[in-house]
Amino acid sequence: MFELLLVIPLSIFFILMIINSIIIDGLKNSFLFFGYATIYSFIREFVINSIAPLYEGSGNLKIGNVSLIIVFGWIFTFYLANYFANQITKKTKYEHSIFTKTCIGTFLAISISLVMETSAIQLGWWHWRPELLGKITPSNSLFGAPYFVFIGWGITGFVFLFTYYLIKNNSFSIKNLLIICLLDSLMLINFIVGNSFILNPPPIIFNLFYSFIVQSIILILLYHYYNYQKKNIFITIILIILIIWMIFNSIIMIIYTSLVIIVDMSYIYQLLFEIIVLLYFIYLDKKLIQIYKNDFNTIINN
Amino acid sequence: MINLKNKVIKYIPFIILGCFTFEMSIIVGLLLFLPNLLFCFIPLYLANLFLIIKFLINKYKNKAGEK
Repeated sequence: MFELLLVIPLSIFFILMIINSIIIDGLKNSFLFFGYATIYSFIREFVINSIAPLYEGSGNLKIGNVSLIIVFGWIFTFYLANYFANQITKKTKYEHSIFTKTCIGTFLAISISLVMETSAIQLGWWHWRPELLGKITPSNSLFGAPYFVFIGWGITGFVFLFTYYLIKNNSFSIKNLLIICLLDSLMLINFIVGNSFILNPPPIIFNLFYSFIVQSIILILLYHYYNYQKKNIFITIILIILIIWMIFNSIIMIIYTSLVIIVDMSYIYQLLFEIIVLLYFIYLDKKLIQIYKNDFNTIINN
Repeated sequence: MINLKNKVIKYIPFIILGCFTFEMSIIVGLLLFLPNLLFCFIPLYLANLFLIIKFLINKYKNKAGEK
């Protein structure tokens, strides 16, 4: 019964969205959006469900191991996120800023995730796999939805919107296609490795090493992207917050390991590794903050 | 008539977002009777509010431009 509450409104919304898109954006842009969104969502679901699945979609509408309702759900989220970002930035100086629009759209994707993930489990729209059920506790979840799923929605929404705006604004150049493939692949690898770690937790040192590699890649990509695109105060503030968050995260880990060492001295190597990682981040961040500081002053003075 | 039709079509995604928020609130609040879960709806209601504010600002700007 509850499944109908998802399928019927979603079908009506979907038809309305397609009509709206064709009339407002034209046939070519609509085809681009819905085509890319369908391929992106389908590949995401297919790869994750084949290698490291955490949940199972309900319903009989399936192609292989992919529930089509979930694919439609993603397209629905992307469409609303894109609309929200376009409307909020309309007639402002951020109207053509890909990064700003992506961040605003991601906010809506995460807002929808908060509603869907907390309600969907209760309504039986999808359910966690038995291997994961024992790992979900009140301390690591919000009303039965583990915190990492909201990050997952955020990453999926961010990568989709960013790559879609790249395609839409700059057409299909080789450089763009490379960036799009790189971002999509990084997202998939991140989900596969992340999900595998959740299902079979490795020694914490592997987790740390992985997070060290991921954070380094994010910093390097941000640095290159920031140099490549037009500066604005919004991006500068977001990036500075992100850098502070990364350092803060490393410090919390060191404090946590130091407390563990009081009980078990074998964690001393882990602590040394964490300190080296923190020093590396401080070194990278110091350089980045200098650049952002100069840009920030330039923007303020202008 | 055409103008009215165009205006309605233009706001379809906003109507969908509003309906979705309202529908989920009803399901969670009344059908499942889990009012605690409504706490998670705050960002979505905020998003709706941001859109309404933005539409009002645009309307005000357009009127000011016409004058």
